[in-house]
Amino acid sequence: MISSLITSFVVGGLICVVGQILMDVFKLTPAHTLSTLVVSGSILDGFGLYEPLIDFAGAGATIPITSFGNSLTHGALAEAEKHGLIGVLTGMFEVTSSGISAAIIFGVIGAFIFQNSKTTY
Amino acid sequence: MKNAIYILLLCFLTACSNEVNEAIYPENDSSEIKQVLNNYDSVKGYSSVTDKNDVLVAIDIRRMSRFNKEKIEKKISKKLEEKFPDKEVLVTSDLKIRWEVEKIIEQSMQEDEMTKSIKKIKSLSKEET
Amino acid sequence: MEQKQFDKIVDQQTPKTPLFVNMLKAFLVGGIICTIGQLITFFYIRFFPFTERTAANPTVATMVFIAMILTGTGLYKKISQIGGAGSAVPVTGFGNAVISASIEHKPEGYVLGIGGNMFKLAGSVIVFGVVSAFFVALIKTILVKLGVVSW
Repeated sequence: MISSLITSFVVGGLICVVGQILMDVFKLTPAHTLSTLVVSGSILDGFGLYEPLIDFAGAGATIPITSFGNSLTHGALAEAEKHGLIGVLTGMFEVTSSGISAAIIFGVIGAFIFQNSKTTY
Repeated sequence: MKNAIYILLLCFLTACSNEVNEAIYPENDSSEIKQVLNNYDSVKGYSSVTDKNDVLVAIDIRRMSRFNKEKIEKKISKKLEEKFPDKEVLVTSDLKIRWEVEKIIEQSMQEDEMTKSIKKIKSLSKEET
Repeated sequence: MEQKQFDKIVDQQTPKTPLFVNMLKAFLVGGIICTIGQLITFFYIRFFPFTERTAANPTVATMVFIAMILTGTGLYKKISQIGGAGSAVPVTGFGNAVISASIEHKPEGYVLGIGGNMFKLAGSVIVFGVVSAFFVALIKTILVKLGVVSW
């Protein structure tokens, strides 16, 4: 159990370091950095490399935004396997929804509860 | 900062303990399962339950072998299927299932109770993300 | 003033971004967030009928919930000042972008303000995630159909 915590710490930290390098060395804005990471996550899943990483690192691989691209691609591929090409379109949100739906719901709830003062990004 | 380093060090040290725990319940089929599983270096420990129709093996895979988790699971389940041709074999390294299997062993459940929880575990493992 | 001189002065004036320090901070903050995520995953596996795979969904939702609290109280801003990418890359950063945008634009009304601006910052992530997922899946499906690779 402790070894799981350590691997998720190291792997999650390393993915964040990649993000920091994109920001500092390649001078990307945060939005560009996150988009790049999402795209790379989805490409990694195309090669079938991201799922083994999740097996290895658990939350270290599922919490970073790269997993978002991974699960979008994974849903699309799973549906494509069943229904052919049209599945690529229909399956995309089969798996992922939890991150987006949670963000929407808590975004609205947060806007109800909290006032706009020092909170801005 | 210094404290954090000590805590990290402690974590690393405790993570390296290599205990192998093997539990097979009920014990009558134990030798065959043992034979198969002991062939794999990447399997650190296992607990398994069998009833009339099912063989359920929860394995603990070594950290660095987890990249190949699926392959290892498939290989072992193929081997076990050869040994138990009339039973359904489920080999998994999932933590939840390992805990559930250990619960069965700990409570040393009776036949029908065990069948019920095995059914539950199997439906859990079928759920995909 | 010549361009070269100007560049030199600008170079001297702008503070050198200590790359290594930033990387270390991102590593620590990002690592800690992921470790918390792993703890939450363990919690869901232990007490709810979730397997390792399915526990990722409630974990993500919980992390976004935590991000809501931290964003609303202004704490997340402080964390991101320390962590840089370490706080932006985990899903909490995504949640923070959505939630802070919706809090910020609340005065403009619920439909135009919150609804319209919620994904102002985070929308690109969804857009490019979906687009790249589409193309990756499309290419792979076609390659499988052609028999070049297998699933």
